[in-house]
Order: sequence, then structure tokens, then C-alpha cells
Amino acid sequence: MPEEPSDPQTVFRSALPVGTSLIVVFVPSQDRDGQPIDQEYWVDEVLTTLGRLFRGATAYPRGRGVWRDDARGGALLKEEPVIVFSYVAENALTAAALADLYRTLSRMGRQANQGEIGVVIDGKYYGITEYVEE
Amino acid sequence: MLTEEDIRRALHVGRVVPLAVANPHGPLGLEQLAAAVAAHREAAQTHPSPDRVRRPIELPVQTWEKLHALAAATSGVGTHPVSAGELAAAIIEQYVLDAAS
Repeated sequence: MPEEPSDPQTVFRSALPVGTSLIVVFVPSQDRDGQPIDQEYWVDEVLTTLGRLFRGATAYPRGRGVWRDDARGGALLKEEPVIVFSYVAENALTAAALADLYRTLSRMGRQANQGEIGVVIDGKYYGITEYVEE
Repeated sequence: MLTEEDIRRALHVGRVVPLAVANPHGPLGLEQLAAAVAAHREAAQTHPSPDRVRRPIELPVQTWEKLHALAAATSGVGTHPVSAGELAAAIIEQYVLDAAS
């Protein structure tokens, strides 16, 4: 009798489909001074951009978090980022698509007064600190 | 397939950090990924680069508030936002450089 697979990813067939990349964008809840931002608006903007570029995206609200800003005298900033993610077909992940995504993210960085916007693509964190108007 | 350099250029990325969570799946995987990113961001805030040091200095509250206002005024459209701490460091650095020359 063949042995049943016990690995949850195999059982639930939950591994990434072959040829897809995972893009994750963190939408912050507050600016670098600790003031709340219009997070719902920015989640919607990022969802819209990812949906338009890569055919779909999901927003996933997290539990509450906190981080210490040593550049501001060790002040504790309570952060509740929303994770927006999209599975992207290999042929859709192009420099032009990322440049388009950058326009939305740099606008968020500027208008929501962010020190850095974080994007994860396939296990690597890309920190965006330069908000150029294109 | 885009390389890391292609992605870096397209997104105007300042730094790239490989994460321990390579392929997160489902809510728990994303939670793990978010925790890894949060831990990294906190570490980046805590540890200065090897050729720089961090020292606490004492300033009157009024001076700090003025620095905050100056930093906010300096952070214009299209530029990287500057914190009061960064601005204070830049002023001190420039002053010391000028005094030494």
C-alpha cells in the first residue's frame, strides 16, 4: 500500500503553481511621525494596481504590532500594516509592470510620508526610499 | 525572468535583503513573512553601518521641536523624507567638517 503524503503543502496542494512569483506589498497604518494615514485608500490603490497589472490581488489585514524607532529617541510606534499580495505569472513580471507598480508605491511613500516602502518578491525584501515622480 | 538587478532598477530600490521565509503560503505563511520583515526593519533601525556610530545627545525640547519643523520643511515632494535625527546629524557633521578645515 503506498504511503499517504503527510506534508500539508502536498495534502492541500497549496504550493505555488509552477511559473508564478509572489509579490507582497506592506501598506502601513501610520506615517513616520506616528500619525495615522488613510490606510484604506492606499490598500485600495495597491489592490487596484496589482489587479490591473497581474490580474488579481488580495489584502490581508494583520494583528496589531509595534516597532521601536531609535532615530526618534526609541519611541514605540504601533504599526498595523495590511499585507497585499499577488501571485504573478512569470511572463507578467516585467520591468514595465514593476515601473507601473513603482508609480503607485512612490506616490504612497510621498503622500503618506513614509521612510521606506517594503515590497517582497520571491523571498527578497526590496526597500524603496526614493520617491521619484515619473 | 527578471533578475534582482532588473527589479532593483524598476522599483528604484535602496536595499535588498534576502528573507528566511522564501515561499510563504496562506495566512500563517504571510504572518511569518510579515514578522520577518518587521524584525528586519527594526534591526535596520537599531544597527548603524560599521563606519558610523550612534550616541544619545541631550537637547532642549524647543530645539528638538524646531528640528522636527525644519525636517518636515526639508522633506519636499519627490525627495526622501528626512527625520529630525537625520537632520541633526547632518548639521553636526557639516559643522565639524567646516570647523576642521
